[in-house]
Amino acid sequence: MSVKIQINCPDCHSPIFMESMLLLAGQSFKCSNPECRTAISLSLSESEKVAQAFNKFEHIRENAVNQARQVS
Amino acid sequence: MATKNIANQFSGLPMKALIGAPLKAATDANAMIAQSQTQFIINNCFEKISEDDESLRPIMITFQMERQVLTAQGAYSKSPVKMDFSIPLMTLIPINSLAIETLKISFQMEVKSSREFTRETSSERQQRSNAKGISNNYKAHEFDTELHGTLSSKGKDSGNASSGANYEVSLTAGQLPLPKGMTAILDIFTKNMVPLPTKD
Repeated sequence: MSVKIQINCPDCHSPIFMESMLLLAGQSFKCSNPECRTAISLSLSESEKVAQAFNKFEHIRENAVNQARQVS
Repeated sequence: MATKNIANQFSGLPMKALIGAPLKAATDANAMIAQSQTQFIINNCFEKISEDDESLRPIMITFQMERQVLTAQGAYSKSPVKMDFSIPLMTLIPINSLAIETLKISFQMEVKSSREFTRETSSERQQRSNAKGISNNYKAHEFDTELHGTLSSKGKDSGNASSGANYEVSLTAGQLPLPKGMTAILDIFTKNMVPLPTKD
């Protein structure tokens, strides 16, 4: 499952909107400020580390959904 | 009076168990989610500074940043400037999204009481009277009179009285925002992002 991520632009501090799947695929994301011509992308060497974190988070999320179902 | 009687019918209900039990189950589940989330943050988003030291530091993730800069001629350069910057891994994880967002307990109970009554009445009365010499004063004639009378009445009353009560209890537990401490940490991380020129 793709997770929506938002971080601030290191240059102008406007939000940069990203999606986890695309981020891991190496796509670059532009700053939402049209005046700021900044684009960011994840370093290739970091992909595995981030992918592992996302997978573990997804596992916790699935557990949370199951628990919520049990309650309802 | 009727409303009071209906209200009394709710007095024996275990409202605490009916409403409280699902709410408690949801809170317990939320607590478990929060606990596993905290464990996730500590185990995956932080690392030990050294084997001897118990202190933790955030795991940093390096991003590449590209931006176009203005040349001396006032135009944007053809080749963008590349820089690196690091952000903590935890800022990429949407931590606050793990929680039971809304819990709605809808408890409805309907009590209706109705009363129906029918009343029938009937009476009959008969009277007979005989009289001779209806008026002695005149004595002109002698009359023999005979009167027959029958009076009867019949009545029917019917009615229907009903009263009802409907109780609905609705609880909504919403998601709380991030704790101030967590927000402060994320804010500090965000404000301290400084791009550095790429080494190559």
